[in-house]
Order: sequence, then structure tokens, then C-alpha cells
Amino acid sequence: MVRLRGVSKRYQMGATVVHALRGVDLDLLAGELLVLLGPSGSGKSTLLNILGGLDVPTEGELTYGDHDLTGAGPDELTEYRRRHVGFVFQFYNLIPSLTAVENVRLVTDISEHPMDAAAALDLVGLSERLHHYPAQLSGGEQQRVAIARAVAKQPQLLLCDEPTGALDVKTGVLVLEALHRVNRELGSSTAIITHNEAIGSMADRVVRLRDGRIASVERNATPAPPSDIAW
Amino acid sequence: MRALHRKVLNDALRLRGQLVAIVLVVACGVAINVGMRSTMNSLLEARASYYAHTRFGDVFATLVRAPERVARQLAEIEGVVVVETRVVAAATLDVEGADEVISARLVSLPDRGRPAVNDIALSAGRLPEPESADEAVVSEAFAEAHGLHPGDSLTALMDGQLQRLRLVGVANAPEYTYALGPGSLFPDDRRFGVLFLRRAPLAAAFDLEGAFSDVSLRLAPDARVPMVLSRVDELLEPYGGIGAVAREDQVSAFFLANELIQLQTFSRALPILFLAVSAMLLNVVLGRLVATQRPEIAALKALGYRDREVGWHYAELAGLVIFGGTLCGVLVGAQIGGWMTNMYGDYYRLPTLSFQLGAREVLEGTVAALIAAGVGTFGSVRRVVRLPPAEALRPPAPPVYRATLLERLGLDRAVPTAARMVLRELERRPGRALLSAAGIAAATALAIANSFTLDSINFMLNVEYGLSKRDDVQVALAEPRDLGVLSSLLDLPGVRRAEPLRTAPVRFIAGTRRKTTAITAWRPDSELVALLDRDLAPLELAPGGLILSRKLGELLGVGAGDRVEVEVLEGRRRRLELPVARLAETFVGIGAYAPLHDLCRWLGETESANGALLSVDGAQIDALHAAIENTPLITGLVERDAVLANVRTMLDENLGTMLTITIGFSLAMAFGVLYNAARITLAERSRDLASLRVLGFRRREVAAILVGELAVLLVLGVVMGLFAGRGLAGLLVRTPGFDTEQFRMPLVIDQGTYALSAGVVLAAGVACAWSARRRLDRVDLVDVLKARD
Ligand SMILES: Nc1ncnc2c1ncn2[C@@H]1O[C@H](COP(=O)(O)OP(=O)(O)OP(=O)(O)O)[C@@H](O)[C@H]1O
Ligand SMILES: [Mg+2]
Repeated sequence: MVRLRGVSKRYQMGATVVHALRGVDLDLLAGELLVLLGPSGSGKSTLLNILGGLDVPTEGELTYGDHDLTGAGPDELTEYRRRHVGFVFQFYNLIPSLTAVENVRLVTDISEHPMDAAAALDLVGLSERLHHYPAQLSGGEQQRVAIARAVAKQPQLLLCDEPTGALDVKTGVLVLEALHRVNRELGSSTAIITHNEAIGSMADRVVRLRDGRIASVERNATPAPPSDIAW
Repeated sequence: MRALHRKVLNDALRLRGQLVAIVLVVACGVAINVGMRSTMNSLLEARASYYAHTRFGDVFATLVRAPERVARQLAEIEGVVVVETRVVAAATLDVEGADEVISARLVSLPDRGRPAVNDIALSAGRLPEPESADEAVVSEAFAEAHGLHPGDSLTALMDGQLQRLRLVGVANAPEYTYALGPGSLFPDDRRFGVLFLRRAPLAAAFDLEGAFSDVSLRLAPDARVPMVLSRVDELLEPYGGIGAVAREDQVSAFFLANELIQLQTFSRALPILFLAVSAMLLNVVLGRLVATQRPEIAALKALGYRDREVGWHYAELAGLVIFGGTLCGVLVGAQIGGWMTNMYGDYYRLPTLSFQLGAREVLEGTVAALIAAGVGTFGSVRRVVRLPPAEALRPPAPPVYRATLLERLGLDRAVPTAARMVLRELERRPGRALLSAAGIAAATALAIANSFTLDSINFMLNVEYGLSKRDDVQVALAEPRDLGVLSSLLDLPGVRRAEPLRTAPVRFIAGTRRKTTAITAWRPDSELVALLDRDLAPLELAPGGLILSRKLGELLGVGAGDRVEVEVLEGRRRRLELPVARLAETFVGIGAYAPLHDLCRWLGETESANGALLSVDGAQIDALHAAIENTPLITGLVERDAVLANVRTMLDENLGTMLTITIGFSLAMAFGVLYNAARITLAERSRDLASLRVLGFRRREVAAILVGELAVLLVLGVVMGLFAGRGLAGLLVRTPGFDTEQFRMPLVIDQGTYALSAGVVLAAGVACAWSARRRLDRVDLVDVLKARD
């Protein structure tokens, strides 16, 4: 569904050049759940941001279906994100002045085939919290609102950067269950970045990054349900 | 440099756009204070030295004819130091190459030497030779308007006699600093001039040998002016005195003094407005800086810096702004002061007028700016000082949001989700939103207050010369004539209609209050003149009674239905008691009005006229001019079109300067407020807005939210400003400089002025929103996601 070919990303830091990615080839398949592992600074976020059209590679190609997004301008990438991509971040990035359901509505307002905002919150188990403001929600709840917001547009692509990074085990599992459910019920191709090896067990595929390169790809024939994960 | 000072500079650099915007506002406040007040002082100084140098009189009186010996009686009045008698008379002039009818005042100089009172200041040439019959000095403004120089000559029609005069000098005179011709409100240097001749020839021409028609006195410093005035009136009464006036009521001195009062009003009010807005901006910007730097403040305190030191550190930032603002303000103020002084120099002939930047004014401006800084900084610095370090390390409590009023009222259907962000953020900080709106309102109001006077003057002219007086030409006759005179006027070329006018100088007395002015009368069926009521509808004259201008009524403390004592200052000098029928709104002068036959009856005459209103065929106006120049019957003329053209030219000449100053100041204030509002809004929303961009909002959509928030402030502010501007203008027209015996400025603000004022502020708003939008486009989405808050 999404193809990266020979993708590199370099940052010029004064005299030195930082290689965040060095020639990555990756396909994200329809409906699969992919987990990205790797040490800090290995380029996971950079890769995910490029996949989601938030960032552009220095070199290499990006295609979505039969759309070539290589060299796309900011407006074209915005349209790509708007139609096809849902993001979830470590720090939730909810709008503090809007309630849970309004945060979700932000997305349904601009989507072509959105779910009902309340249904999206129901999907992540928050039907009781519709009219709470972010400050009135726990971290796990906020993250689930962020997931509901990401999935409400029924995206083909769901990209999550350390969605459990700020959460304890129990709430982390709740969040993973929500992601898992979305992946199974909506069929969104899902990529999850984590530092947590254990989370790899719920994936269809586990991709490991090291120094901006793909170090290994593991296929998981029998993914475990998130409730079995412990760390 | 100490590390903490380094931090001040870094903060200043990071906030440079916002600080520069505040510097601009401070600079305007200081510039107005320094520029306007230095201009005022330059004018005051020029006036003082001019009046002293020329021995300008303290008391002025005109009369018909008194023998010279009366001067000795005048000199005996307690407090009188010098008495200068003169022959002053009216004439019409014929200057080569000039089509217009020129009214002139002929003023005598002593036969030898210089006058002891009201000397003239020669700017070219010399005084007439002693007892020279045909040499004259001409007033400078008139000479310039006609390109006259010593050596040129002109013809004067003096009491029916044509006299050729040679100009030997050009001069200014303190009585004609603001040179108003008879019956006008603005100087018209082409149509009114003053000639100074030796006394003997003038006396001979006007049959005033051994007599005088005008007297000026200089008084001892401790003289009791009202006593002197009434004694002079008493002495001159048998000789046709029409009431002595003190210097403050002498026309030219009055207008100059009044101008200074207006200048004083503006120069006090405007800086306060600017410095208040500066304080508000400093408060907002520092308040936000302190809020975002809580961890740094905590760290500094944890490191052992004293509360005072950390607090002072933030005050230094304000100090930088004030320093920059004051410096720019003084420079700009010196420039503006120079322009303004030149502009005043065009209206008021003060020979030694030159702009002087006052050290006192600079100091005053600096202190005022420091006070503004203190007010604006106090709250934030106190918060810094009081913040306990442990608390500062914790993030501030999360803000509490609520559904907005709109939503609670159930009107939210129409409000899209993104717009709710804007409304809730505004509602969460209503104080700050209101302050910004108030700043925008101030900028709008300022533009209105600075420019509405043009509308008022135009309105005044349109009413005075369009609705109230519909004649083309008004003529003054040498002396009262019976109404048969109208037929000779009708015989003049182009005259289609002639209506009689009779004015009589009078003194009104009501209890202890007295006021010298005139009663003007016309026939009730007159078509060329009418009084107006408040709605500008024509008002009938009151048979058997007087209508007073509102201002005169106020000054005398009389109203409709009262009776007022009237002392006629001509002819048989009758004393009457007349009923006041009502008050009428007039913008010019303080007059009283009555039907012609009533006035003549009160005067004990048959119906007569000493003036006339003419309706004239425009095509024959030149022929009429020529005819009038040779008609001894007519001594003065006011031509509507010429008056209007003259005023419009004068206003147009200074329109550029006025608009530059008005627009410049308002733009600076609007920019100061809006730029800061835009930057702060951007800083506070950029994380939310970047989140929206990540979610797939287009740049345009995100920008619309930001611009929407600014637009709410802008529209709110401008609407408030339009009302505030009207209110401010309303206050201004009630200040002493605009509500005078000579004129009352009506509160009139044209739609164009509202539109210009709103437009200037909106333009600043659009510019600031545009720059904020460009910054928003450049926000790095990935960076925003990394930050925790
Ligand atoms: N804007 C930037 N400027 C310079 N270097 C950057 C920038 N963004 C990322 N990098 C560098 O690129 C490399 C990869 O960063 P990236 O954020 O992708 O790592 P990561 O694998 O997500 O790490 P973590 O697990 O800590 O989030 C790092 O070395 C980082 O320092
Ligand atoms: Mg990362």
C-alpha cells in the first residue's frame, strides 16, 4: 500500500551532517499491523513521519497506492494526510480547549467518509467521557481520544509514534487493545513505534532499525492479543 | 557582561518584533509630548517676545470721533500707563493685477517716530517719512499674497476719495497676527490687508483732525482690568465708543490664545492615550514572558539569585523598550514639532517664531514614558518576585475551559468545531482580549479625534454659507441708509436681488453680566438669510423680541422668556429692556437677531440698512467688483464663493501634514497593539494549529483559525473605537478651545472619517495577520510534535 524505496534523510547541523535514515526500503501492506523497534536515535520517528507525509526524504521515493508522492509539495502532502493518514503521538497532541468528542469532530468535519465521532470514542471505550476536556482525562484516556481522533476518518494508514510511551502497563494495554481493534475492524494498515520489545508480539511484522538502516524484519505468523502482553 | 544581562539581551532579541512594536507606541507618545509641547512653548515664547517688543496694548477701544483731549482723561484712569490714540478706518484697495475687491484697514502711525503702543515690526523697507502724505507700510501677509514690495504702489478708496499710495515698507503688527477681515473667521490674505500711514494724511482724509477713532492703552501690571474697561467705556460713550476690550478679547490675540489652548488640550490628551496603550502592551508581553519562563525563574532562584535581582531582570527589558521609545520619540518629536511650528507660522504671523526643542519637554516625555513602563511592568515583576522557586518548577495548573456563552445559549449549531477553539480561548482570557480590543479601539478613536475637525469645519461652512446665508455677496455700507438704497444696489451689474441688513452694536446687561456684541436684523420675508434650529430647519425671527445665539444666552445666563437690558452703542445710545424669544444654535460669533422694523423702532429710526445681502449673476461678478471699487457707498464686501475657496485652500494646504500625522500615529498604535496580539496568539496557538495540520487541515484552514481570532479582536476593537472616537470628539468639542465666543465647533463626523479611521486600523490588522500567517506556514510540524508543551 505504501512503498518507500531508497529513502534517506540527512540533517545539516552546522558543519556536521546527521544521517537519520540511510537508504530504507519498506512496504506497508494493506491491513497489516507493523511494529517498529530500535534504539533511540535510530530513525524510527523520521521514518514514520515520512510515511505519513509529515516530513520529506532527502533522497528516495514514496508512493501511496499508485500515487507517486516523491517530491510532493506541502499542499499535496496535506491532502494525502487529510484523506488517508491517521496519527497518534506520544504526547497526545489534543486541543486543550475542545472536549473529547470535539477533538474527534475536528477530524470528522474535514473527512469524506468519517465515522460518527461518538462511535469512534466508543471504539476506544470512552463513550462515557465524550464531554470531558483533555485536562479532565487521564493520560491513557487522552491517548485513546487521540486514537479515536486518528481513526474517525477511517484512515487507510494509522501511524503511532510511541503511543504508550507516557503510560503505565495497564493503561498501555488498554491503548494497544484500542489500536488492535481498529486495525482488525477497520482494516487500517497500522504502524506502531515503540521501545518495548514485548509489543512486537502483537504485530504481523516487526521491523528493527539501527543507525538509520533496517536491521531486520521478522514475520509473526500468530500475533498475540494485546491483553497477553506484559512488561 | 553578567550572564543575567546576556539573558536580557537574548530575550530582547527573541521578542524583537514585539518590543519594536511597543517602542513605536512609546515613541509616538513621547513624540507628541515633545513635539506638540515644544511647539506650544515656541509659540508662547515667540508671542511673548513679540508682544513685549511691539508694546502690544492691554486695552483696545474703537469709537466714532473723540477730540484729542479725551486722551488725557483716559491717561488719568487708575492703572493706565500709556495712551495711544489713532485714526483707524476702513477702505477698499485696488491693487494692479488683482480682480478681487480688497478690504483694508488703514491704521495711523504717529506723525513722527514710532507708536508707544502697538508698534509694528518692519520686515522690509522703512517707516513713512514724518507727515508724508502718500507713503504707506503694508502688512506682510497681504504683501506676500499680492507680491508687493517697497517701491510698488496701489490705490485706496478712502472715504469716497481715491488716493494713490506708495509702499515704503512691509511689516507685521501684533494686532494682526491672525489677520481677520471684517466678518470672517479665517484670514484671507488676498482680500484683506492692513496699511499703516502717518496720522496727518489719514486724519485729513477721514475728517478726524485733532481727533481720534481708536485708542489703545498699556496698563500697569497691577491694574484692575474690568475697572479700567468700564471707565474707558464711560469716557468714550459720548464719542460713539462701542465698548473697550481687554487684550484677551482682541480678535487676533484671542484666536492665537485659543489655538494654544487647543494645542494644550491635544498635547495633554494624546500622550496619555499612547502611554496607556504602551503600559497595556508591556503588561501583556511581559506577563506572557514571565508565564513561559517560570522554570527559568525557578532555576535562577534555586541558584541563589535574590528575588529582587530576578525581578529587576525583567524590569530591565521594559527599560530597554522605554529607552528606545524615548530616543525615537524625541527625534520624531523634533521633526513633527518643526512641521507643526511651520504650519502655525502660516496662520499666525509671529516674526520671531522658530521651533525650539525644549529640554523640559524631553524630560517630561521621558518621565511619562517611565511611569507608563512602571505601570505596565509592575504586575509581572511582582509576580516574578513573589513566585516561590518550588512552585515555579511545577508546570502551571492546566487552564480550565468551558463551553462559551454562545454554546450555553444553544446557538452553537452554526459554530464549527475549529471556531469553538477560538471562542473558548478568547473567553478563557477575556481580560487580555478586552485589553487588545481596547488598544485597537484607542487607535481607531485617535484617528477620528485627529481628523474630525475637518468635517466639523466643513459642516460649519456649509451651514453658515449655504443654509443660513444664501447670498452670493454681502456688502457693508459706509453708514445707515433708508431702504431706498436697495434700488441703487439693484442697479449694480449682475445684482438680481438685494435684501437690507441692519446691524447695531450693543451691550447686553443681565444682572452683573455684560457682553458687547451686535444685534443683526433683516426683514422677516428675507430669502437670503435665516436662523436655523437644532435640526437645521429655518427659524422665524421673533416679532417684537430677540433671538440670541445659544452661547450668548449662556454667557448672560438668560433663556427664552427672560428679559435682557440692552445698551445701544451708536446713535442716540438708547437703553432698552427687550424680551428674549428663544435661543438659536449658531456656530460663529455671539449674536442677537431681530426683525428689521423692530430693531429700527428700538433705535428710534425709520427702517434703514447699513448692509445688504445680494444675489448675483455669477457671470457678471467681475463687473460688479469693478463697480463696487468705485462706489463710496460700499465699504466692505464678503463674497461667499471666495470665502469658501479661501478656507478650502487653506485646509487643503495643511491636509497632507494633518493626514500624515493622523494616519501615522494611528497606524503606529494599531500596529503596536495588533502585532503583539498576533504574535502572542500565534505563539499560544501554534502547537494546536500544528496539530491540526498534522491531522490533515490545509494551511488555509489553519490560517483561517488564527486570522479568525485576530479578526474577532479587530472587529470588536474597531467597533468599540468608532463609538469611542465619537465620544472623544464629543469631549473635545466641549473643551474651552473648541467652544468659544468666536466659534463653536459642532460635533460632526462624516462617514468618510469613520471609514478612514477604521480603514487605517484594519490595514494594520491585515498586515499583522498576514505576517502571522506567514510565520504559521513556516512552523515545523515535526518540531511541534516533539515538544511536550
Ligand atoms: N530536526 C533535526 N535536526 C537534526 N537532527 C535531527 C532532527 N530530527 C532528528 N534528528 C536526528 O536524526 C536521528 C534520528 O532521529 P529520530 O527522531 O528519527 O530517532 P528515533 O529513532 O525516533 O529516536 P527516539 O526513540 O529517541 O524517539 C537522531 O540522531 C536525531 O538526532
Ligand atoms: Mg522518536
